[in-house]
Amino acid sequence: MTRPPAIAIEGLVKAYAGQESPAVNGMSLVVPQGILFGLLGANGAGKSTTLALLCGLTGADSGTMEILGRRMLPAARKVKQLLGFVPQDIALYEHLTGRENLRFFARLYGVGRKQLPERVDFCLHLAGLAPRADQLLATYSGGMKRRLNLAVGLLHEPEILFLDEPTVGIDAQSRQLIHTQLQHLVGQGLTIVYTTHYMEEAEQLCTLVAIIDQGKIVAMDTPQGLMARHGCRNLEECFFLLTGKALRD
Amino acid sequence: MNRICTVAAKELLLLRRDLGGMLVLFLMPAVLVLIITLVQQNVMELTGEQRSRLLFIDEEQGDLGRAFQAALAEDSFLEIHSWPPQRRAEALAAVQDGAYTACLILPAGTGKALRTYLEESLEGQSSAAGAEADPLPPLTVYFDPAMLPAFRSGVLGKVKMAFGRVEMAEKIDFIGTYLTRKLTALGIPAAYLSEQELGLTGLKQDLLEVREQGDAISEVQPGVVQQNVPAWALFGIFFTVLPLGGALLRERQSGVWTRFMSMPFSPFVLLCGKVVAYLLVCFLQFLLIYAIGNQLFPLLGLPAFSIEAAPAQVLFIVCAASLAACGYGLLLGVVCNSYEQVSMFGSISIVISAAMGGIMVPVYAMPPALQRLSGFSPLNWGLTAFHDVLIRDDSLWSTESGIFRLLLFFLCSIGLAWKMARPRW
Repeated sequence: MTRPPAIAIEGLVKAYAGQESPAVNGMSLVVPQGILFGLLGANGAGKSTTLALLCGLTGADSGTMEILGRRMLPAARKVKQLLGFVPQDIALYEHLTGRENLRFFARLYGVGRKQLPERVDFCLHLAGLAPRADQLLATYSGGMKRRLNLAVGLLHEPEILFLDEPTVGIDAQSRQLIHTQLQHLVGQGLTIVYTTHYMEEAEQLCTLVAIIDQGKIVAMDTPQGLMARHGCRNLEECFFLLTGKALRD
Repeated sequence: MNRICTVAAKELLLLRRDLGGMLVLFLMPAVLVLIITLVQQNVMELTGEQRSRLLFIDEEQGDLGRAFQAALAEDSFLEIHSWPPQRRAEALAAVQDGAYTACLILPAGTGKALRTYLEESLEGQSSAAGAEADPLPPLTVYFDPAMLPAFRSGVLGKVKMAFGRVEMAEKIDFIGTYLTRKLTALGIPAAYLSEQELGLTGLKQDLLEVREQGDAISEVQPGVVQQNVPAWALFGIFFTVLPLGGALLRERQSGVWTRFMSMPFSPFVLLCGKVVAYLLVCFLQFLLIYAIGNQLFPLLGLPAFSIEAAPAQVLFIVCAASLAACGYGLLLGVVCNSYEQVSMFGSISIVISAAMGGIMVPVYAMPPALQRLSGFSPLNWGLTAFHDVLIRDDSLWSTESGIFRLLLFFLCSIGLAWKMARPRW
């Protein structure tokens, strides 16, 4: 029996009131399971809206979305249970400790009483925060907060993890740890959908990348495949070649 | 249900770590109820709405003084403290300092002077004209200088009435004695000359009565404690909108709500969790204010606040008011775009609602136009419900009760908050 794709979207459209063109404009793509998929685009290209649609934060105007073979709608709770979402903002409580933050979100995800301490400890180790687990988040550095932000998305052992620019504004060490952990998780079968502005990072990490411009996918392949097809030395060159250098926001 | 409890526990933990929020929620209403009640109690004493503490110095030391003190004591608005004549200077100082409302001094020889006057008057001597007779020593009244003129005349009227009654009794007694002496001299046997036989006993009684109607009307005007304890408890309850609205706003701004929207449950569960947490906070607030009213007030010379008449109904009112406050807090949390907006708009709207709703000044003391406006204040609905069950002995479920309005306000505000918040998450 063939495994359904992690994500299958067809003719997806989402427009916001007062905007000239839709944020997502007839997008179609298929992402297989167990890969690290990079969604690349300039500011305002439609990356965050695509993630919002895929995570059920908002509904599409038209088109279909399937997650692991199931229809995705904002009210689809069973589908949402399969997803982990890590927003770009540090979506945590400053006046709770790292452990308290993890316990709170784990309970909301419905992690059972027995598994809860184990999952919290696992995520703390994954984020490299075990020694600071019982200190308030307000005392953490930017990199520590971002690592914890990522760990929250993994508490309930999702099958797909959506990351919205998870390495923005952090030091090289934290970025390196996040890269290592993401590769490790993909190796264990997790599907990761990842948006970033860092082309070098995407080139190094992603199994498959899609370049979005003005709400549409303009290219989708492996980083090496894209570079070879367009005769570029690196992914950034490909990106500029496909999207141009004009500002998008 | 587990998720609601999880959110409620998190809210309480965050609140426990927020010292400023705790001060706003617990210390502010506690201090307010204490200060405002004491101030209003003092104002009520100044305006004569409370018992007046009078010092009485009886220099006369005879039947007249004892009768006068007994007549004063019959008045339920007067609290008489008798001091010996040796403490006259001390008594005047106590009144000057405001410890007592007034000091009454009955001079020595007043009784004797009165009888002499009556004797001379009945014998047709100098007092028939009265113009050249020595004036009788007056009863002197020293007032606390801070007393309002209207209140002075009220107390003076009560003193004059008591003194007049004693004077009348003295006159009748004297006339009885005088008649007995005269009739005995004419040979009538003493057995026929008792007070009853002479028909004088009835003259000592008050025949024309003044009866105040409208006990029911006076009962609906709460005393200072009945007014202030529920009023400031409600004020404190409604001030929970600040930490609640602020907490929701921070979650929206930090991206936590975006994360919630991706989770496998309705974020309405989270609103419910917040309501549960702040409901508990409101009950704790009320418990604190109730403890102050019930235990501390009597120690400060104020009447105790009691909910014994209808404890279950009172708790229901607290619940309804807390829900209304929570609904309003959630609404502010989604309507406002900054913490400054929440704190400014929240606090100003509550203070206005409190002023309009009879929290600061009882509604019956407001001008008629403001009295009509008070019906739009949720704090007034809560206060009216308290008065209904604790003072008027009305049913909580009457259609005019504030309970229904509070519950409706809660449903509307949480519904509106939910509707307005969704597209923005």
